[in-house]
Amino acid sequence: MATYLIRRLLNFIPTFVLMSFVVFLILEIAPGDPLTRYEQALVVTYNYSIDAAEARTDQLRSLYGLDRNFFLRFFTWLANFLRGEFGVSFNNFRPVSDLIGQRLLYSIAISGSALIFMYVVGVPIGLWTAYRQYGVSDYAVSVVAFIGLSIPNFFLALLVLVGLLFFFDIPPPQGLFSPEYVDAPWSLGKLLDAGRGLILPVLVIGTEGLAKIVRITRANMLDGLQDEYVRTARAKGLAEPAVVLKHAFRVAVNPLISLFGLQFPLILSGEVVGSIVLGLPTLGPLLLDSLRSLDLYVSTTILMVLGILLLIGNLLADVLLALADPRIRFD
Amino acid sequence: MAEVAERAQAAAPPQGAPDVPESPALETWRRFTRHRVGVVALGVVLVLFALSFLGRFLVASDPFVQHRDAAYWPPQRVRIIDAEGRLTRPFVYGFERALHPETFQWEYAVDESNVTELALFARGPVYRVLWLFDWDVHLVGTVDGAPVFFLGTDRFGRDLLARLLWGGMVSLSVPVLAVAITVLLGTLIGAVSGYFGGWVDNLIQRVIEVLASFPRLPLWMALAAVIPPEFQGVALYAGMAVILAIIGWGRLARQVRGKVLQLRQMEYVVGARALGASPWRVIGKYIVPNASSHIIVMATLYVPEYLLVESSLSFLGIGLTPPLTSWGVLLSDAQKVRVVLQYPWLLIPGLFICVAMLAFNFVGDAVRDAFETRHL
Repeated sequence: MATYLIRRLLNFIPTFVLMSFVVFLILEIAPGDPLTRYEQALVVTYNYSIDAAEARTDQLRSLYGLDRNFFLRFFTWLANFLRGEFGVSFNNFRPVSDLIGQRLLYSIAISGSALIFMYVVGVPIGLWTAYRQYGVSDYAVSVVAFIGLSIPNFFLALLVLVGLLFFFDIPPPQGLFSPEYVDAPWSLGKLLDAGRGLILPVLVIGTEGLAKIVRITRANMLDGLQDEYVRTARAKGLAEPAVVLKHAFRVAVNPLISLFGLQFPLILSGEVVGSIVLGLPTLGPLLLDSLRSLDLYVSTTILMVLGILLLIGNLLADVLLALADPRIRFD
Repeated sequence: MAEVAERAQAAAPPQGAPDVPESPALETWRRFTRHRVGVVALGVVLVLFALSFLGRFLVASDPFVQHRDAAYWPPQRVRIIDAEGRLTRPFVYGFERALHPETFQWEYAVDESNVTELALFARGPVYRVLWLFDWDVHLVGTVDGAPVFFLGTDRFGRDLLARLLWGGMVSLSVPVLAVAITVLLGTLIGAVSGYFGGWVDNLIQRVIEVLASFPRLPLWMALAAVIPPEFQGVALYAGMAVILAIIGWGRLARQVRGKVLQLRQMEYVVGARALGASPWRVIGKYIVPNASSHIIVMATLYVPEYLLVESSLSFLGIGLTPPLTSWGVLLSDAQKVRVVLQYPWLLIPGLFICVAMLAFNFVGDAVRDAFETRHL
């Protein structure tokens, strides 16, 4: 197991370097460099003379290695990133790590809950509809699943907010917590409040994935239920729940775990867009703001963080699959 | 009934004739038509395209003209029963507008004394047909040329229906253009990767892995955000398609590569190489045609994804921007929940996105079944 893990981790190194390179390219393509906006701001808002502003930013440029050639720029940037020096937001002059810390936590909480929701709700529904193929519930679930796949995240979020306001007179929530808990220290009450705040984003972000899980569980179970070992199990008089859960479902688990690795990027993407519409204090809105104002160190750090989250997710999926599928050898 | 039977007889093979195998294309089409939902969805897609590209002819209003005195005008219902309960030619009632004294919102009330009669092939705003000549005849318009807003107006008093149809052109054609670029990129890179192998293959596979192991929407957001502001109009439109394809080609390339690895062992490919065919000839003449069903299926699966991404980016205000109009751009007017509650017709563009997504998804499913490539 340990060697397997280490090998997978080593495999990530080239992927990680290439990933940073892609992110760095975006930094390079952007008009100007991370300090262009800062230089303008110095002149416009802080009444620097043009020469003084240039002198000040050039000083910073050499600090961030922006005056060197392309490859050195890349390696300086990557080295800084690895050391945890993500740069400074030139919108409000705070270190990027300060801006991201709390938001990253919320992003992980929301994405993680959405993933759990997808599997916990989706797998039983898929099981049931496969077991009762062509029943009323099967058709109903199929139709709803297809709509769930086709409705864009941001539109669903919008509809939910409008619906809440129209039918229940509930105003759009401001952030994850109720007002009285925002600045309160962590307690049981705050935790429960966070759970309540999670319901909406999890529903919005998890719906698409839920539809996928239902469809895949159903398809795999339909295959499995026709297999001969299932007939054998029934023939030897095994109770029906054991036939379905222990024999048919056991085989359908593996594709569901592989799907985990594929779903994770979709969840993270959905979290970004969903949070923007729902106005949640996660990485999504910050990414959008930073991109709009070309606050590039913030954008690139968020992109890198999301990429790393994804690598971790993939690693998790690999390990889970290796544990669940006895055909995969660890060495 | 008799006609149907006759036609069935004509279609049936003559008695005793040897079984002539159908062409593969016909066979695939037949398998596609067996997928009822897929056929309906294809119809919906075609209708959406037709509505969008004939939009300027269909309705007698201009998508860009601002009616300053008709901001947030509610949808006008078409009626055929007049105030006295008699059946008349279709008409719409006007609205009376008043500023609410407390909220300062415009409020509209149906004004039954103000009747605008509708007409077919009416004269209206001038538009250009196929870049060739100007015309002012519209399928649906009003007798006296007064503006009518079947789906209401936006905050500048622009007709939402005309804008929806106009925006449909962009929303539907950007994914198609992007898919074309994706197919070009993905096929070329995938074929090279599979055919040459070695370090080229290794590098390309790594790049694909990175593109696949990224939450792609944020990456698309970043690329869309760094499009230089000089890109406007057609340049932005093309830029959007290129961005979609640049991130998206990986999956297609991986499929093509797999197919190439499989085909490379085939006798006819080995034979062609033995006869001295250049790699490009082998790829172009023997491998790509054999991978075409995979490529077609993948292409149809890409369309809804690209439609969704373009809509999301435009909705967030970093994709297409006015004066370019797409359904996502139109929906971005509906970002404030309270505004939507007041003027719910602003959500209609989202409905169009959903219908298009649903239709494209079903078509993709049916195409996948028709080409017997379930596993894709």
